Amino acid sequence: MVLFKLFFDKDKETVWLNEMADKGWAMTRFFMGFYTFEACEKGQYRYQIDFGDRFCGVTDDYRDFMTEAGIGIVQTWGYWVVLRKPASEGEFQLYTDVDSQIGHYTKIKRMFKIVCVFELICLFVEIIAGIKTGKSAPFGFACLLLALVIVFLRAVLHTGNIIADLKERKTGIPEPGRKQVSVWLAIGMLLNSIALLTRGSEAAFAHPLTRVVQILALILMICGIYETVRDQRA
Amino acid sequence: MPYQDTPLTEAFYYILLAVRRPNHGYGITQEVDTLTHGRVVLGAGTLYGALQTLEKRGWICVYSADEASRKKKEYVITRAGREAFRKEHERLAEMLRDGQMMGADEYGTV
Repeated sequence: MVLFKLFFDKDKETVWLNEMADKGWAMTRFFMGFYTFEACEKGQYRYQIDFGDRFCGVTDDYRDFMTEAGIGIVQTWGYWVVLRKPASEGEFQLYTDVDSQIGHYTKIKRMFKIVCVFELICLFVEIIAGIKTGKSAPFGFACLLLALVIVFLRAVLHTGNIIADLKERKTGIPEPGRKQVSVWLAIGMLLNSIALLTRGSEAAFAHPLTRVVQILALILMICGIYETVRDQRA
Repeated sequence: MPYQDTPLTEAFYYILLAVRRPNHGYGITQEVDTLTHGRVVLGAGTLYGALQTLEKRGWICVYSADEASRKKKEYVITRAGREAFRKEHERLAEMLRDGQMMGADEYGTV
């Protein structure tokens, strides 16, 4: 069985993989959002997702270590490593103290931040291209990139909030400032990019449908800005 | 990179204790579990990260890694590791001694 799903939160992904295993479906492969499942006994495996030290693949050292601990490496994807252990061998947790949990999420946050910066650089390149050529396509790509920047910024902030929670648990002192950017902002930006990209370069008068999409995008973005500002105050 | 020798986290403390004799990954987890009666549980990620950090600090080293026979990789504490452990042990002993002051003296408890 193959399912398509996009996750920007490894904890939600872990929960989902374990729910699937509970239903009798063991994940065996992942490729660009496509998860391949094989039938297994209900609850046969426990899944966990690790963040490795190396882009694509793991070191021999890591593989040997996990194998020895009875943990199988199901799939590596970028820095992500999907691991599983037979449920019969007991509980399966990767990070068992607050310090190592903070370390784990700090590495994840850093990666999301780097992706954000990289996307921002691409965004500026597109904007400059748009200004120089005067065409709408580069601006369409710029909007698409901005949507991606927002998606990854959300991931950075979400991971930061997890770290704040962990620090709070460690010190017993409330960590101020949980931040989040509204998802509607990203969706609005995505619609806007679709509108800009489908308009075509030479069409002076946009298709009525494009107008509708653009108005919808504008409404979503206003909602997104409203929600973001409101959450910041709360 | 500068780091603080002490205090050690519980995980680091017990890992160092478990490699006072050559020990391999799973053996460390089991020994720590037995020693602490299941209070300190070492997840695979926590242990792997800790072993890497300790090796980088030169507190532990690989004792045996027979590639040919795929023998389990064993770690053992180094001289520097023993020194760090001793310092931490002293600190904890001092804390325990000082802590007795709290004893029966409940005056001023609010």
